[in-house]
Amino acid sequence: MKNKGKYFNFGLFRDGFSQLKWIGLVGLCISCLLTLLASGQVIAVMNMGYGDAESMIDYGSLSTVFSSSFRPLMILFVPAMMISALGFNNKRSASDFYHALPQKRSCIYLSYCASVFAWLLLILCGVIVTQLCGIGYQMIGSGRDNILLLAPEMIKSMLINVLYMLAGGILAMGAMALAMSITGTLFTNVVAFLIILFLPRMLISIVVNGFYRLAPMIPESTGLNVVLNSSYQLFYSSFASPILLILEATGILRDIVYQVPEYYNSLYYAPYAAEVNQWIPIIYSTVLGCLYLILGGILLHRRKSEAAERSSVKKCFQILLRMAIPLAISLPATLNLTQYLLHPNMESAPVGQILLLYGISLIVYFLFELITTRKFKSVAKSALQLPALIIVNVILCVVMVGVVNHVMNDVPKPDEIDKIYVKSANTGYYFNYPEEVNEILNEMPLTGETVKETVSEALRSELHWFKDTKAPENIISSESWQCSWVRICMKSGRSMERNISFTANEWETLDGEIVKALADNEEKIALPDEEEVTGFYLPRCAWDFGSSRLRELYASLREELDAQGLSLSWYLGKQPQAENTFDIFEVGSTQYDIRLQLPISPSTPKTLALLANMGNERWKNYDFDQFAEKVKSRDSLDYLVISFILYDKNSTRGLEYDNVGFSSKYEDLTMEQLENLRALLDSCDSSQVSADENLLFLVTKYDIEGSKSQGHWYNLSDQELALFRQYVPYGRAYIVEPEQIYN
Amino acid sequence: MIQVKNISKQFDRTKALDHVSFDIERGNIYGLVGANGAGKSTILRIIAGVYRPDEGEVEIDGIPVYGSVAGKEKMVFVADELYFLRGASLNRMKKLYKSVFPNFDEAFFQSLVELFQLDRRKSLHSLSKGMKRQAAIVLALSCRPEYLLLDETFDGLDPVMRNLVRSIVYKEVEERKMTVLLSSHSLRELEGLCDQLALLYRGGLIFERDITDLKTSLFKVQIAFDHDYGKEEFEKLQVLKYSRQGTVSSLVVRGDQTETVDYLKEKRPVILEVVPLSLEEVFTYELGAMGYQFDPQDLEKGAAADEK
Repeated sequence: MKNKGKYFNFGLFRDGFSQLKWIGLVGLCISCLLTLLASGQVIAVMNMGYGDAESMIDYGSLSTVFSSSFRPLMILFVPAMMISALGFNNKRSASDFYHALPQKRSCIYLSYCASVFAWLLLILCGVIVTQLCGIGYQMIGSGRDNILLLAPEMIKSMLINVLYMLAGGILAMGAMALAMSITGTLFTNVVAFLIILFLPRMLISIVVNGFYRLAPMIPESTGLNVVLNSSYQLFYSSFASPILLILEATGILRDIVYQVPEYYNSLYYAPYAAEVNQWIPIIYSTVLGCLYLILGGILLHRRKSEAAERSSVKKCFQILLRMAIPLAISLPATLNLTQYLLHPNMESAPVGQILLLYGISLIVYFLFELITTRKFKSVAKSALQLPALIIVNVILCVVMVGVVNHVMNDVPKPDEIDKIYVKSANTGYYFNYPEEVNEILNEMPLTGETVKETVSEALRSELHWFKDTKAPENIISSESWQCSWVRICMKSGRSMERNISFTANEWETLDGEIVKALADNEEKIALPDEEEVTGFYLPRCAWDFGSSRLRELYASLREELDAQGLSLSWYLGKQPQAENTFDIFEVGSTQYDIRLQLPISPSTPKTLALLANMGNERWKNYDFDQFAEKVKSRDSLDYLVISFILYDKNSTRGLEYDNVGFSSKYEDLTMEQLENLRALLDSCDSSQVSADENLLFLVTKYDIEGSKSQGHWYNLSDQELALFRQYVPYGRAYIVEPEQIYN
Repeated sequence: MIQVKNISKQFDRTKALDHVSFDIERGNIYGLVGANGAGKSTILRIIAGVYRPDEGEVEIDGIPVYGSVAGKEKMVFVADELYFLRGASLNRMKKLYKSVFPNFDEAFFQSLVELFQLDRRKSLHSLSKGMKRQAAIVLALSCRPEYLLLDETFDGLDPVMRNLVRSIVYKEVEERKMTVLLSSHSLRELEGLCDQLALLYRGGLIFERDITDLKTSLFKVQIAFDHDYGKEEFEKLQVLKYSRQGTVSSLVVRGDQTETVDYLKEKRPVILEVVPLSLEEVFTYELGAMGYQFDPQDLEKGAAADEK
């Protein structure tokens, strides 16, 4: 009884590992090759100007580059390895053989799954080594400053990508194990695998999208975020876009996908659904994969050997599989029909699409049975279970209509309301609070009677609007309304969250109450102490000064802003104005979930001077002459531009911004003006810049790709400023958003 | 000891086994005969712990087999449809067997491989049907099982190899008291090999007997007298079949052979000869006596026995 109680057998593991060698080696080679190609793209990113490269990293472009080796691994190699390892369940003779072995079934399952996991780890090791070799080789050869500055972010992106691959691999393993535990042929294995990975998310997405279309007064992320957010499930978020692309390439399917919002939203928004912490998809997918693996193991343990070569191991699974895809096809049709029934006055019911979707659903239903059983008799029998599909459709829609009706009639009276929180006021068209204020409002109860009356009345009017047979989306898109996400807490203890559309008058009233309440909470916005700060960012001024210099900059800024008596009402009434801001200093802290955005402007002269001198130090080799020479010798493709920010201490107009370009078709400056500007800049003092004087920040860009830039700060005397205006004719300069100056 | 207790098994609407019971003593060679679809493979798979019976239970040395590692460790099952890992050689299969069967005997494996003259490095899938069967038997015997289950044992083996397998099995039974359960649709294959035989028919066990008893209790007598006689001459004997050509009569008799011969000698026949029956003939007459029409040829064709 040596095998009794064993849950892992090294011999079986070794055998599984050996069985998988060809698939594993091909997977390893392709993943490494794709990683190598991706490394090339990463090098291209690194070779960009620092700002462009940093923004690529910031916007997750690197993750996209790295993920090229992620998709084939998840969709092809891991499932193929699982099929190869557990494929004995698909063949009677093989199944009998394994079931007769004196081993626990769980031992066979775990040993073979471990062999797949071992190959997955081996592939990931290959990917890491390839990444490090590819990028390391280029780093050594290149010697660019950017590379050293960007290296930490690069390595972080690479590691995150490897963890994504691992989590995706575990998810694929689990889904295939579960699929193989309930099906008995290769075809049904693959169909079930895809259904397990895609369909629950898609159905949730379809139902949720349909629900929000029927009841737009319900905010889109009220709890259950993990369940509803499609980007958490790595497989769905990775393949939704490619699926959409494939569907786009096909005629009739494209039309359906584009015209049925439930489909379009579920596929298009999946990868971009609410920005999420990158660890969440990793943890969520890993946990989901592990759950699938456990469930697959339990079902395989209970599975009969004679189930091999059958499409499904039990009738109930066959019914479920047969119904799953038709349900996803027919549900949007039923939802559209429901929407039409609830809002009969909206444009027109898409009768053609509804019929088409029901037709396709039926065809898929019977086709699945025919392909999996190859018996017309079974197809005929399956018609008996068709009412189940109809019933599920009807139940979902009845439940949805019931919930929507309940929501429509759920209007608390002012005296029933205990307090109100404004969760977000950023959905309006004419007013937005800064994020910091929204964050504070989330936690700040509004208890005034006026607020309660305004909210209750606004909600009542909104629901009346919907009931008045108007199309639900019209009210939201109307520019004369301010839509806000509000949490209403009742005296009974119940609470509800709603998107409430306020009229301009209603909003003014509410806004006044909010400002009053914020004024009472001024102490909450004190800037975090240095030890509470978790990170500094200068997103607009795209240089990395290093952590210690940024800390120095923050200390200076904090001192100046605190001295000004920073308060919440300041944020509301005197929030950073574009025309006064040289840069926005972003500060992450333990105190707030979001980054605080602090303006560096002439109002904070010490910090501005510090920033200017740090900039000049960073670009101490700045040479305007070189730029001028390039302008002279440019060819027709060159893109040469001077951007500047000018602070005239005697002017009340705030900062002046401009872009002055040179190309083959036009010149903003004549060559004479450029030469004069060169002479002026040569004479200007930039050794120690002060914010008490007129200040010029000049950025020159000269690169065929237009991505190489250098900047410098100058103090100008009044006389020099007058000359500058002469060379860059007054009136051309205009006020622009600060970020434009860097683009 | 294998105890099959009242087991039934149904596949969809087909009843594969219907309340079958039998016991196999330690050290016995037990043969299961039946046409295709009679339930032989099903019963073997149930005994091997592959299938779970819908009703009843199988125990090996008192241990229920299904889902029991301890029960399965005592036996090796060689199925009718052989399975080898994709692209595997005998060596690779040996590694697998060695890792899962605790009593795998590598030295014995080497000797068997040499005896059967098998190539250990060649892919098993490229071998002939008979060679594959030899490889499966070699692997199974190398596990030194207490119980060996062989489904369609000699399928594909040539007479030389059949004899070789028989001799090895005999040796194992004799030396280690290994118990063997064989199934076949051919009685000839099992003749001279089994201690006990059972006939399965449409999922039911219709006949189970000890071979020695079978052969000694049923025999053929050829007899002639110098005077006119009829069937009534043998009324005191249990005659299963009577035929007469000229003066010579042929009787298939059930009973004690010595007593029968002594009884007939008293009638002073001019010819008296006892002819041993083949297993096929024994089955034909026994089943005929039970009310079944049995033709050994039909076993091979697929129909086991038809009720009268």
